[in-house]
Amino acid sequence: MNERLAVNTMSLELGQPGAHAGALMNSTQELVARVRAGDEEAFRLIFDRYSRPVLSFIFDMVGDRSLAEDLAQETFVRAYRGLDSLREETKLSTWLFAIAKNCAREQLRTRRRHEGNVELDAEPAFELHDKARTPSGQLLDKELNGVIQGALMKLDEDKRTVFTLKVLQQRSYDEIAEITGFSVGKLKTDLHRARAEMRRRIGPYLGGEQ
Amino acid sequence: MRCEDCLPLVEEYADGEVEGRTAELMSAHLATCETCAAALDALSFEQEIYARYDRGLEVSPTLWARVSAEIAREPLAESHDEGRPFLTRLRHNLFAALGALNVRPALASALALLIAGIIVGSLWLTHRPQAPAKVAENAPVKSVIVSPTSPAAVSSGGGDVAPVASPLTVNSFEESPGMAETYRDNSREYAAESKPRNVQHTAEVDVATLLVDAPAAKPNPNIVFIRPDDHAADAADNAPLFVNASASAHGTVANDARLLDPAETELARHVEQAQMLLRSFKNARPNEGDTVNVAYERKLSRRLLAENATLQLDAETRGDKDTKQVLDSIEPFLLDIANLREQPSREEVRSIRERVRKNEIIAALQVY
Repeated sequence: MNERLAVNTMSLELGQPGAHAGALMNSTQELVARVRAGDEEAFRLIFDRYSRPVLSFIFDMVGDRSLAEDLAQETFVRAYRGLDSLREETKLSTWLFAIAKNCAREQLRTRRRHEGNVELDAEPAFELHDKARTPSGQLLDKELNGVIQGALMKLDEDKRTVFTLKVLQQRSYDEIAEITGFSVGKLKTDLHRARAEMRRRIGPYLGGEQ
Repeated sequence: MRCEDCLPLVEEYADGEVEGRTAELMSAHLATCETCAAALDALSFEQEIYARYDRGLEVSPTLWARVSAEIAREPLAESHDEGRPFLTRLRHNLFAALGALNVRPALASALALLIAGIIVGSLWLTHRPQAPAKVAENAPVKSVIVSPTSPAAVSSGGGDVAPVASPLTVNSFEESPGMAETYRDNSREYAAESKPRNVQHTAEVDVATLLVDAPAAKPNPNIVFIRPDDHAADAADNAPLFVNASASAHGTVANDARLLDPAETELARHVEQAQMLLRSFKNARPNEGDTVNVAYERKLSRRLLAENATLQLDAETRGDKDTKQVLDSIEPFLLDIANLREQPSREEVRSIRERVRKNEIIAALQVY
């Protein structure tokens, strides 16, 4: 009985999303080479490895869950079809983020034309409910998430891209420069200004925490 | 290090982007300066807050299914080989073959060029326009399929109307006596300035001659005209459009027309129109503001899209992978253009143009 239980547990684990843990044992170069040789399972491993950060990044850029999924799909499809253009296999992640950034920005531009620009200094989409917030940690975090997301959406596109990549995705300046095509000087300036804007918008919340 | 040197670098320091001697100096300063240390603490605190940011996002299990379904439409093995333009494939295969023989790169390049030259030469010899045979002027002519073009457009390179090469059925003169009369009348008018027409008894007409001499009396619905206002762009961009129209008339489609069955002819016409559409889209001129007028391209794209779907189905039924591949490669561009607004922004158009360029789709269609 115990034996059977153990086997079942193993099967269950293998069937779970993390079951493609083999991805961790494959170097990026190996995976890319395998995909180029026509091994679609290798691309599945790449997807498993990078889908979450790519989806998060796109979500931070567009602020819409369903749209972020569509754009993540587009990102991976473009990546698959354009794998030949990847020069340095070690930079797969940077390359994927660059594709994701392009997808997100194309979408944002299309949307902006339809809806009109969002004014940077308009009222934040997510207002703090009141100064004395509920002590419940869960609610606090929920509110924090809303405040951060709202503040992010108020940043202009360049600042949001740089801020998201640096502060939320922990990318290096060099990587951000490669992903965005910005000079390091520009991205430093944008990042500094984005931090200041974010600070101003979530300031009351940060003040409460301190 | 002083505070005025340290404070501007605090963000970079917090980001782990300061290295070497500067990092050491900052570290030493931060250990003793309360003001700078407070600035660093504030940044660290902010970073902690952002680290708590939870988007509540999970990668949906259906996402991979969607990606997988999408890429299954164009498997990589095929797209890496069959999907490439013919010349690219040829180049890769030649280099791969020579590389396998362990030939030195310089020699391999020379050999590859030589072989490519021989192949191109052979192709030219096979497909060069045949000298027309002499026939009696009033001999009956059966139906032939030609690619019409306007001599004016070809010669001027920027005439008012540039016809897209499109198959046109010229009925037998026996079956259409009226047209035969018109043709003969016009022939006489043209006779003085044009070289003598030669028509084969075996019902073949020299396409180029026909095109030059054909009367432009009745508009043919099969001919698609490109609006003049959209294509007066720079000469460099326009040139291929007209050269191609001319080349098509004298070249592949027209010369091979008699070899094709109706289905192949329809396919050739479709591919050619798609190619012309992409060229037209590439050359579409921006309006005064930030928009580009692509109303014509949208309309044509929608029509070609429907046609493309039918042809894809036919190709699939026939098991014709190459054709299916070509039609599959056209589809996304047709979709993109068809889904554009009538006055899309330059950026929207640029993005599609960029993909057209990167995919070398026009070259691929031309080769096809």
